[in-house]
This record gives sequence, C-alpha cells and structure tokens, in this order.
Amino acid sequence: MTKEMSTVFRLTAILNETVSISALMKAVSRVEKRFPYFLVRLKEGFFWYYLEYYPSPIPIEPDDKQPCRFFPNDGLLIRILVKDKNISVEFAHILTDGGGAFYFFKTLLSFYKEELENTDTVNHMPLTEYTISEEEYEDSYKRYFQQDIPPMVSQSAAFHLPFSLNNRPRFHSSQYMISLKQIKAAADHKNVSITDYVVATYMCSLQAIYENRKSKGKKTRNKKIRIQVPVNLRNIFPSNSMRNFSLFVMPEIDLRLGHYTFDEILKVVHHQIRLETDQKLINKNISRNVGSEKKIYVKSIPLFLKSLILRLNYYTKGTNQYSGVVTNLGKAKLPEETSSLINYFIFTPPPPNKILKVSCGIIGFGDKLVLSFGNITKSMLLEDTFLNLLKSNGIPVNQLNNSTEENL
Amino acid sequence: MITCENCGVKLEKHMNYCPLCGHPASTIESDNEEHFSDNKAKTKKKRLSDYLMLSNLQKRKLLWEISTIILMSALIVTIIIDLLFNSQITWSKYSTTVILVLFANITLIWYKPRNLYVLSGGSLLSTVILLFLLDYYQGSLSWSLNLGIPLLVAVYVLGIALFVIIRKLNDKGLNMIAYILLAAAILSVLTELFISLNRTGEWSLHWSLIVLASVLPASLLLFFIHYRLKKGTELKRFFHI
Repeated sequence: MTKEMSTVFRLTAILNETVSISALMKAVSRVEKRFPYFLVRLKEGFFWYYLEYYPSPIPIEPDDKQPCRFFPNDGLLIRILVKDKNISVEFAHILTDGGGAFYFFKTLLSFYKEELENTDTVNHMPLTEYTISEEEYEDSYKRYFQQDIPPMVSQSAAFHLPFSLNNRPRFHSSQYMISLKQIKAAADHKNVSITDYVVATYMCSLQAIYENRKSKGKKTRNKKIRIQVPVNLRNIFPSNSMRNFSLFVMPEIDLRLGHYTFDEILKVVHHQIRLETDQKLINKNISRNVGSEKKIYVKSIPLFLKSLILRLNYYTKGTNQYSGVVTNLGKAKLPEETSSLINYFIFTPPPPNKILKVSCGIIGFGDKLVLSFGNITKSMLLEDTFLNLLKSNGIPVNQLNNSTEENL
Repeated sequence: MITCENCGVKLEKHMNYCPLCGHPASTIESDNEEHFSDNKAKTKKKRLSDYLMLSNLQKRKLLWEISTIILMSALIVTIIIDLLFNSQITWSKYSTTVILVLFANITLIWYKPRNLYVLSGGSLLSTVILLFLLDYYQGSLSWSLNLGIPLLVAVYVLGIALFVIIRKLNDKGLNMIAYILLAAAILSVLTELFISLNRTGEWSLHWSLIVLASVLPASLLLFFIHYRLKKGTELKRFFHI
C-alpha cells in the first residue's frame, strides 16, 4: 500500500452534543483494556508480515487532516479523531473489518456515555469489558476453511470509470443522507433488500456512464459491470472473532447483452447475492483466500519477493475484476442509553485505488441512512448520476456538509 | 463547561489547555456560538502565514524577484572582484554568462510555468547560447558547433518527444519502459554519429548498433506484453513453466 492509497477506513459518530474530551479520554483508556488485541503494530518478518503486541495508548487527535490517512510505520494501526460533535475511529483493514470495528466503536461510545453520566450501559452489551472471550482473537477463516475445496476461478476484467485522477492528495469524500424508511419502502416495494437496491442503483449509474461514453464513440474494452459487495461472515458462520471475517460477492451485468433496465439490474443483483452467499460457495471463496497461505512453497518465498507477487495479484486477481465497491454496514444497533447520544453515523470506506477510483460506504441509524463516497478523481459524475437515480425513484437526498444537511 | 476554540470539544473547568490540540482554554462559556465561530476564523487566519495567503502567481513572482536579486548581486560581485584583481574582464565572463542563462531559465519558469514547449524551447535555446559562448571564449569554435550543440539538441528533442508520448498514453505500464529504452537506444546511435563526424569527418556506427540490437527486441517484447497480452491470467500463462 502507498501513502496515498491506504487500507484505512473510518467510522464517524455525529453526536447530538459537543464531545467532552475528558470523558472521551477516560472511555478510550477503558476501551484499550477491553480490546487489547487491537494494540498491535505491523512488523516485517522474513517470510510474512506479522502483528506485534504494542501496548501504547490509542492516539486521540484533532480531526483537521485528510481522512483515512496511512498509518506510519512502527505505530498502532488505529486512531481516534475528534472535532466539535464528531468522534471518529480509523482502522487499518489488516486489524479488522467493518463488523469488528463497529463493535469496538459501539463499546467506545457506551463507555463514553457511561463516563459522561456515570451510568452502567456497558452491561447491556453482549461482551463487557470484563469478559474477553478467546474466540475474539481467533482467525475464523481457518476454523471454517475446508482444505479440499476447489478454489474460485478468476474472472475477466470489468469496466472501470474513465475519469482522470485528482492532484495529490487525491482522496476526498462526500456524504449524503437519505431516509431509511423511504429507501426501505422502495426496496420492499420491489421485494429486495436495501443493499440490493443501492447496489443496483450503483450499477445502473455505471451503465449510464458506460453508455454515455459509448455514444461519444469512445471504445471500452471491458464490458462487464461487477460490484464487490462485502459480506459479514459472522452472520453466516457463528463467530465472535474481532479479526477480519468478511468476504465479498460480485453481482455482475454483461453490457454486451444490451441495455438493462433498473428492474432487470435489481433482479440480477438480488438473485446473484442470494446465490453467492450460499454457504458452500462462500467456502470456495474462503479457500481461495486462505489456500495459498497454507502451501509450503508460498510460505518459503522471502517476503520481499512475495510482496512483488502479491502486488501484481492485487491488481490482476483483485481490483481488475470489479468496477466498484459498495459496503453496507447495515443498520447500527446500540443500547437505548447510548442511542440518545447519537445523531447519525458515517462510514468512510478505504480510499479507492487508481483502477476503481470511487468507493461507497453505507451505514444506517434511526431513520438516517448515510452514503459516503470516497473519490480520487476530478469527476463527481458517478455520485451525481447515482443521486439523480435515487431522486427519480422518489427518494430525496440531502448532502451533508460539515455536519449540516443541505437539500439537493 | 468551556469549549476549545480550536477543535470545538468541551473542556473541564480546571483545564488550562485543550488536551487534544494544546490550544489555551478560553474562559468564555460554551453557549456563546458567535464568539466561537469568530474566534475559530481568527485562529485559522492566524495559522496561515502571509506567504500561504498569496496566490500562485504572486508566489512565483516573489520567488522570481528573490532569485533575480541573488543572481544580479552575484553577477555584480564577480565582475567587481575580477576588475579589482585583473583591471579587466577575464574569468568573470564565464560566471556572468552562466548567471544570465540561469536568469533566463528562471524568468521562463515564472512567465510560462505550464507551457512545455515554451519552457523546453527557451531552455534549449539558452543552453545552446551558453555552450556556444563557452566555446567562443576559448578563442576558437572547436567543439560546440560540431559536438556539444547537436548532442544537446538530440537530448532535448528525444526528451520532449518521450515526455509527450508518455503523457498521451492512456494505459501506462510496460509500454513506458519500452519507449524509454527506445529513446536511450536512439540517443546512443546519435551520440556515436556526432562523435565520429567530429573526429573523422565521416559517420560510422559500431557500439551503438550493438546497443540498438539488444534494446530493440527487449522493447518489442515489452510492447507485445503490454498491448497483445491481456493483464492478469494471460500473463501468468505466458510465463508458465
């Protein structure tokens, strides 16, 4: 990873009141004890990278710099950022996924609430600061991995946005709020989930950009639109692991077959997501990820060589296969006492790489669903097309700007 | 409860400084919104130094003015020292020429910072004049016209062509390396050509042909990998043992 293209993602809680720094500091020192396995730093071994326990306080910083910044070497892979009414936590993806990070954040907010009012909301959490189960440390991929499963076949390259990149620092993010009830009603009307609905809208926007480009006579070699949709495996395989335990499904449409209507895309997305989240197919996917780690010849390649190979693999087997990423963390559920603190949440996905260019993160709370677009290009065409599609489907959108809402 | 004027968090009454950003705590109560927005703007303004508040054009002009003062002072000082010790202009003509060429290049960067052709054209012309004058000062034009200037023009033309080609590439990758290798091979051919013309009056090529013969297949292979083989699995298949 480079300094520009980090794997850092961010969760932000916009509170109803200004953050009290002393309560937050106390809450952070408690949360450090509750999640000791996040106090690690990345070290280079001869054959692999490894995480080394590093009992340093989690840094609390003013939130006045670029979001999702790279973590410097030899430091923790987590930071907390504060500004006015906003508390954010940034994680390197190597540490955990969105599910694990949100659990950490939820606990931090509960501790914060407790410190503010000296009430005991923490006991309402399924895991308290006094019980750290060993399962939280486990690599659940290994538990559910079956060795004799054939690996997934790599897919052809997908369509990618043709926009030119921003000057450095490239990454900027924009947030939009929609009513959870309204989008739920729209999704229910079509008998699909909110994730299906958003992914279909995203694909529809990409199709519009492709068709617009085609009408101008510009050639595009890759004609498949594929979206990577991460799936929290904790919902499929019982696990309390706080390490990464998610995989992705990739619904696709083939533009060589002609124009797809929104309803057609919705149907494809809905069924493909159901099909690919089938437990057996997910097993095949896990075997692809973990399988190579188990091979002795892969193990014995020195790290500097392995890094070169993995870098190539990242672009060829990884990013090249899909046109975009849509991560839905779902509707945030908090204990009632903690809920009263929060206005809404924002999930900022890791900065997209030069191939993907734009990424999208979604999180809901109460009636507020926040869409966060990370973008490294000069164009906002995808965001505009996406929001116009939502609006044309009867879902009003508000742009969020420094914690205020603006009608679009 | 008081609020930090810089990062906007609530502070305890006993806190003299904000533990988050280190800003001194104000004694004003937190509900005075106007006071805080005003103070925030002031702090932000204070943080920006005068230099940061200048536009890009103003910054460039300032840098040009500073460079001009430094270069002209150096020019005057060297001429005066030369005159004092030798009572005439001797060695200082070299430093004066170099300073004037530097000044011309800095002026070009100030005047047309984004125009590649004006910048490189101006830089080439000034360096050609520099080589010519340095040769001329030695009494006879022995190397500049036959060797120095042709080599310089070759380097500039190839460099600009390479820059333009790479900038226009939609899909950058191994093809960039192929173009760079080709440019290096052409430059070696031209170098040997100019050297042989200068030494014997005839053109003859030996070592540069070996360079060309080794670089050409490598470039073609890189072009082939880049344009003919699709990225990903095909590459793997291509190199499969």
